[in-house]
This record gives sequence, C-alpha cells and structure tokens, in this order.
Amino acid sequence: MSTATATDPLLQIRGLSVGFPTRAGTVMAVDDVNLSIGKRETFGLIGETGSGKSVLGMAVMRLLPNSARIGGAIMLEGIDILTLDPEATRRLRGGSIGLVPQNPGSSLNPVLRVGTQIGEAVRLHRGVSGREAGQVVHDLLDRMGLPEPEKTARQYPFQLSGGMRQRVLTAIGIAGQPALLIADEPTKGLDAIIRGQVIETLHKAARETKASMLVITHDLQVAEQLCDRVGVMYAGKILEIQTAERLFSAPQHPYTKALLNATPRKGLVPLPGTAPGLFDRPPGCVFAPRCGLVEIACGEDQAMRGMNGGAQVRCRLHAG
Amino acid sequence: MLVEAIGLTKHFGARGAGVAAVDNVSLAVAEGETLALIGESGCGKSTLGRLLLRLIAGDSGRIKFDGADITDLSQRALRPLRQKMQILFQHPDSSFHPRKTLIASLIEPQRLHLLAPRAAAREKAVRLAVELGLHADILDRYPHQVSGGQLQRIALARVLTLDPKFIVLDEPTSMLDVSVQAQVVSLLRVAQQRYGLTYLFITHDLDLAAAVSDRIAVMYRGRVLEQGPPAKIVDAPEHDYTKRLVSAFRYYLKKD
Repeated sequence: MSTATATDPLLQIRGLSVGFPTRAGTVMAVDDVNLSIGKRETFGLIGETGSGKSVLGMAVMRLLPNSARIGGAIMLEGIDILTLDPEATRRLRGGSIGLVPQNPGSSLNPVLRVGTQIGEAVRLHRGVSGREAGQVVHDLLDRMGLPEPEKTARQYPFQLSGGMRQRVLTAIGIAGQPALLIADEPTKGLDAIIRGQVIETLHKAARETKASMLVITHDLQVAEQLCDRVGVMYAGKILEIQTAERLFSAPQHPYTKALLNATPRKGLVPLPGTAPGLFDRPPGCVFAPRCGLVEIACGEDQAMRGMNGGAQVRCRLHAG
Repeated sequence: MLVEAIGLTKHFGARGAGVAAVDNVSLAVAEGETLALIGESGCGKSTLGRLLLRLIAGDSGRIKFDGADITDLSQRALRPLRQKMQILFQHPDSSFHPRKTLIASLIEPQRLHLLAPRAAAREKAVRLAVELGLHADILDRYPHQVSGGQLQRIALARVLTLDPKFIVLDEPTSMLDVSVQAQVVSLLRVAQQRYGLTYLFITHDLDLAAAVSDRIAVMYRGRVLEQGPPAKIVDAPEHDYTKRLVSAFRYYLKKD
C-alpha cells in the first residue's frame, strides 16, 4: 500500500460525524471524517485523549448510544452499516467485524473457562457446535501461539498471564472469521516486553484470517510497527493520513510533527497550550491556536488535500 | 549523597511465606541529580520509593537523608523532614480531595507544617501555579473540573509550596498523553533547575528514563540489577533482564 487512499477498499467511511446532545447544545466528537481501509490492510488511528478516535471506533461497531447523532455513511463491503436493523447489527458484531477490546484483565468472564468463551463466539458466528466447535477453539488457540491449546481451553482467565489473556481475546476477535478486526488500545497499560508480544499476536491474527484491521491507539510505536497506513485525529477531525513509514519519517501536518517531537525519543519538546475541549472547538483549523505557523487563512475550515507521494493533509500549508 | 539506601528490604505478607517486594537494595541519589528507577509493574519500584520517604516501614536496612540516618526516627521527629522529602503520585485525580477547591488543597500542606499564615500560603501557592503555566483562576475550581495534565501540574505546585529538596516522582506522566507528558517533564526540569531539586523518577518507560535522568537503576523482582548513565544502560546493558528490556524497547515487528 503506497498511497493514502486504499485501492481496494473493504471499509469506507464517508463524511462521518457523531454528535452528542447536551444541555449546552450538540457537541461534535467526530467531525467530517473520511477514510478507507483496503482489503488485508492494517490501518492505525492515533490521537490523544478526547480526539474522538474511540467514538469513531464505536461508530464502526455500532456501539454508540441511541442519543448519538450520527451523520454520513460507513460502508463495509458495499453495505452502509448505519442502516442495518438490530438483528443484522447483531450478526455484524463478532461476525463481519471482530473486536479485540482493551484491558485483557477485565474483558474476559472470570468464572468461565476460556475455551467456553471462545466457543460461544465460534457457535454463534460459524454455525458449528459440539466437538467440531471444540476443535475450532483449539485451532484458534494454536494459531494465536498458545502452547497446549487443549489445556489452555480448560483454564480460567486468572490462571493465564496478561499476554496469554490478550491472545485469548484476539482468538475471540477472529472466531467469527471477520472481514474487519478492530483493536481498541491493545497495549494500554502493558509493559514493554508484553507489548511486543501483543503487536506480534495482532499481526499474526490479521495475516492468518486475511482480515483488514483497524487499530485505535495512543501508542505511537504500535501504530508505526503494526500499521500499513495511519490517520492522525485531533479535536474530532483527521488531520493527516499517510503510510506508517512516511508518517513517522516525514510527517506533514504541524500537529503530527509536534506530536512526534513530544515523544521521549525525539527530545520531549512540549506542545504549547492544551487540546480544545468538546465545547470550545475553535472555528477554522482546529490546531491553529497551538500552531507555530498560523496565519489568517487558518481561521477558515481546511479541507483534506491529497499531496504528491500519497499523503492526505488538512492544512493551509499544503494548499494548491 | 542526599538520599541513601543500604541493604533495604521489605516483605509483604507473612515473613518467610511472603514476597520480598524490595530485596536488599542499596542505592544513592546525589544532590541535584535525577535517578530514574525503571522496571515492569510489580518489580517493587514504587515500594522502594515509599520506603525511602519512610511512608512505609522496612524490615531491615538503613535509610539516610541529608547525612542523617532516618531509619528509626519517630513520626514526630520525622515531621520537619517530611517537608523536605516529598512525593508526586501517578494518579493526580486521586491525589486531591474531591470536595475541596484546588486552592484549599494547595494551602493545606503549608498550614500543616506551620510554614505560613493563610494569606501568605495562598500567595505562594498561586505564585507557584502561575510559574507552572497555570491560570490563577483555575485554582478556584474542583479537581474534576480540570484536565489530568493540569491536575498533575497543580500537584507539582503543591509539592513545591513546601520547598522540598528531594521528590519521588512515581510514574508522574504514565496517565498522560504524549504531548502533555512533554509539558509536565519540561516543568519538572525547570523546577529542578530553579529550586535545586533532587529526583527519584520512577517509570516503566525506558525511553522516558533515558531522556530525563542522569543515571538509571534497573529493578527486577525486588532487586536493583544494575545502575549507570543512560547511555551505558541502553547501549551496553550487562544484565540479561536489562538486555531483554532494551530489546523490547528497540523491538521491531518483522512483517512478512
């Protein structure tokens, strides 16, 4: 994948906006997001707290509360999943779309054997049962690199290490043979050594199932290593989309540059100011109040523009 | 040496059957220095930080602060020293009284240590908060009304109101976003320069440790395996565990 636009898209998000009504008016958590994820592509969505990346992920899983005002379209294999009825939505979750939730410590049922929990997903989404389902469970555990799958299947979550639980959750995520696997903050709160294992597990899961993957993360190293392309979210908008390689070696948007320079490896250069809250989004470019390159034109809303080399950037500097 | 631990040991649970959270640790922090203490969760690094401050009692070993042995000092005798040795916690949102305004929480430590009358205490708190880039108005709010990064800065201002010499920074940025982490670290550096502070910087992030410290101590299962300047630890680790840790941070997925 060498360009910012997926050539053979599995998922296409068009003009997506998500607002939540409050007493002080509707706040926009996600604002005019366009992105596509190709078949077998791993797409990373990075952003800091409040950037809207998790809300975007929930929109794709159809997990937003009924009060959310959703606009735009989310096309999965040509079908707008925002129009699906509840029954079709139920089949979608865990079926066409698999989820690897964050926090392996609390995402499994503590009183059920892990084999039972994987088996539930297998029976519901593959239409197999009994011994056959058991075989699929063992196969999934084996493919996720767990030694002695028969033994592991009979164990309870507390008997497994954090890294093993993460692999069990990944096995559940791919149990329904999804076309799209969503990993939500897969490395949050994990130590470096386990983090490497998680990255490998997810990569293996996507490769084995030939699924596309959407990785929502604040962990820049995960995005760099695991993803083919990366989108950068800030204050509800995507400011830049590039291949992971280019994004981390040649970031284009001033926010992306500042974000990378703030990492310990690049010298912890602080960004001035704070990210705007939901109620005080600036008009025009959302990053302008903190940007060192701001000009009058930044007061106008900036469109996402394609650049030579395939990047898409939402910045006046890249106009024309 | 401003702070020194000699053969410090702490067990949790029944002795013998319990776990040695800190196991015969000796280390020293020089005045004005930042010593980073790194290790994975559960390795005992926070316990060690608390032992040095005598927030918890050790089983054996000695602790020295500013030339004096403080291991056996009574709580009363420790009191004047507490002002000089402080801690900044990982979770700023649980370091403030939820039903007190921030300014009330900033004044309280000075009052407890009988350092200043209320008006002067307030003035000092506001001055320090402004030095750390905060608006004075924000201090009239409650903890839940400000962001995590702002709250951590206010927690730092509160610690600074006591004119400490030594601060244990217990994962002070692990709950913060990358850009906010950079802001807080930059303020910690400014405060260190301006007030001649000595830091024990506890973290699980090797990159962060290397960027902020003069020396790094690597902890694993209650023991300090090795200590040295960041370049030495990162480029020429001696212990097997340190090598694993370094390679985990230099880890790169081989795609196929």
